[in-house]
Amino acid sequence: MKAILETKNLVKYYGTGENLVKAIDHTDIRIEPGEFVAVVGRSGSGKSTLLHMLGGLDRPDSGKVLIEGRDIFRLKDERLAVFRRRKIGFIFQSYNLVPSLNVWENIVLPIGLDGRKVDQEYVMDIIRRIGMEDRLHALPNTLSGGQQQRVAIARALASRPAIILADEPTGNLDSRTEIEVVNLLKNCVTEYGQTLVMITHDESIAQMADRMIVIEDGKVVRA
Amino acid sequence: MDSGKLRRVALAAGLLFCFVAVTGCLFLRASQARFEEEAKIMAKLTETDPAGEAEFAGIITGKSNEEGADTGDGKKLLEKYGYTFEDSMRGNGLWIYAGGLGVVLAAGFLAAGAAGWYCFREKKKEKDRAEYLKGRLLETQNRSEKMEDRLRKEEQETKALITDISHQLKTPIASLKMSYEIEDSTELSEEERAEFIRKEREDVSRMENLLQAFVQMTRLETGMIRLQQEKRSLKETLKQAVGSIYMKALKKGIRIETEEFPELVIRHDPKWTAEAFGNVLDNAVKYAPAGSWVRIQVSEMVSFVMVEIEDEGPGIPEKERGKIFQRFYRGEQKNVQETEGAGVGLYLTRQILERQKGTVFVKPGRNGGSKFVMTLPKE
Repeated sequence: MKAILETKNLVKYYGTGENLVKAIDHTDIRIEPGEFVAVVGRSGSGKSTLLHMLGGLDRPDSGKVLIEGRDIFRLKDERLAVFRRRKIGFIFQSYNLVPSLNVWENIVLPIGLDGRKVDQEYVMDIIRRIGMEDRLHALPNTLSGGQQQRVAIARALASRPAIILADEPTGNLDSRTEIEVVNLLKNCVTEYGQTLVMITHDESIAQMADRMIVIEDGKVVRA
Repeated sequence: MDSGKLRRVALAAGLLFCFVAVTGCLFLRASQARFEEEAKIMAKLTETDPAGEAEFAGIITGKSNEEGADTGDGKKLLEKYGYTFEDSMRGNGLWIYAGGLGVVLAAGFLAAGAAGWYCFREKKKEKDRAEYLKGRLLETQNRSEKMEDRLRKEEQETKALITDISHQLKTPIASLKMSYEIEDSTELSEEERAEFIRKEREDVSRMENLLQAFVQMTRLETGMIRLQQEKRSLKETLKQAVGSIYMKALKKGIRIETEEFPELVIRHDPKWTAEAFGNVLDNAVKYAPAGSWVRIQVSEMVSFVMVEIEDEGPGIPEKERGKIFQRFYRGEQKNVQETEGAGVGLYLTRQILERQKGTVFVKPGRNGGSKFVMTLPKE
């Protein structure tokens, strides 16, 4: 099958001389459409940097990131931003919800910013799946951490991106809520045929993935 | 040409026709007004000087042969009697026609602008729609590609499965065969004979177990089994699972402890879910030392129900934890290799739970054993 997400000889170093940190060191990975891949590694292993490159948030020193076969770093900044908005949904450890907007408004906000119409039926379907249909008008500060992350998941899924990149999405949650949130996320991406790349340091959570990529010192040690 | 385009062209032609017609009318009216003005002047002039009729006509129609008539002198004469350029502009109604033309032009521009804007909006809508459809198409494509891929993989795996089954069955069959051959060719004491029979029984039961595991797996794999999810008591399903290993546990002196939990009715396939739990329990009893315990804990979460099964067995090394749910995977440690098994149970557990939108993973237990965490959605 054709890869949806691919890196070719990707390199990103920080600092120089003795302080040189090889965050990504000639990394090749390949992810197929519809896969749920967990990227596992200790903190400082370079997994976050890798995710930022995959999402086009940061440019590499050399090498390529291909999304659906297209080299994303050959795009100009504005075009890259548009491409990213349409193709990729991000979920971060901090939920980044707008405090003055309610659940529904937070979820559809990126679609509005992109000047597109909201597919009400689809968004409601996601909201039902993540079990937030009763809290549509609630403000973020009235929600628990787990609920806020559910909203952030719905927001990432709402614009129907082909790829979801999640950076330690459950880092702030207790282990039970963590299991629940990852399970929901997995069920959603399976349902909508999306590709999920999730960074985690928790190997038990990573077991829920179809495949694990283990990163150490910027290199893939096990895929 | 599609109907939309045809309509747009017709609309544009209509608008253009209106524009030309209105402009033409105005032009006609303006010419007529000028003609009337000239006729009036002609009448007045002839009235004052009937003899000069032919000459006046010549001047007005512009057919006069006299050259050198000076516009400057004429202007001065008119101004002398208080008739200026401004008065001329005000007097002969040119304003109305100019105004009319302006209105027509403005209307034309407005119509063109509106049409352009409308087209732009339609285009944008179309583009959005196209993009949306493209996304959906890609999604469907991904799903079908994934399915195709899975089918291909399944085919390969089925082949591997057949090879593996025959391979696994070879050992007990060979052992059985040898046993019979020895019995046939050698005089055995009563004691030896009993020992042989015991071994033979073991071989047969090993084959039975293997076959059972393979049958379960192939039934689930080949789609002969569809999971029948219905609202049923989880407690009943767990009871069924525990029942399947109870005798084995009793024989080994392993206690099965269950913490009290409320009645939970969730959508699941009771028979296959019992099989999923049963496989985990079976491993727990199989690998744990005699006299240890197996603990079952059930708790309710927001959207899921969590079932945890913890044992005091040898545990699973970290690097193997991700692999134990793969088909035919068997642990690398000696005690696993020596224990009978086909590497099917946990694979089935994962399949059964994931097909019901649940999950399973393993983490270290408290006393060096393993803790299997399984979830199933509440709805």
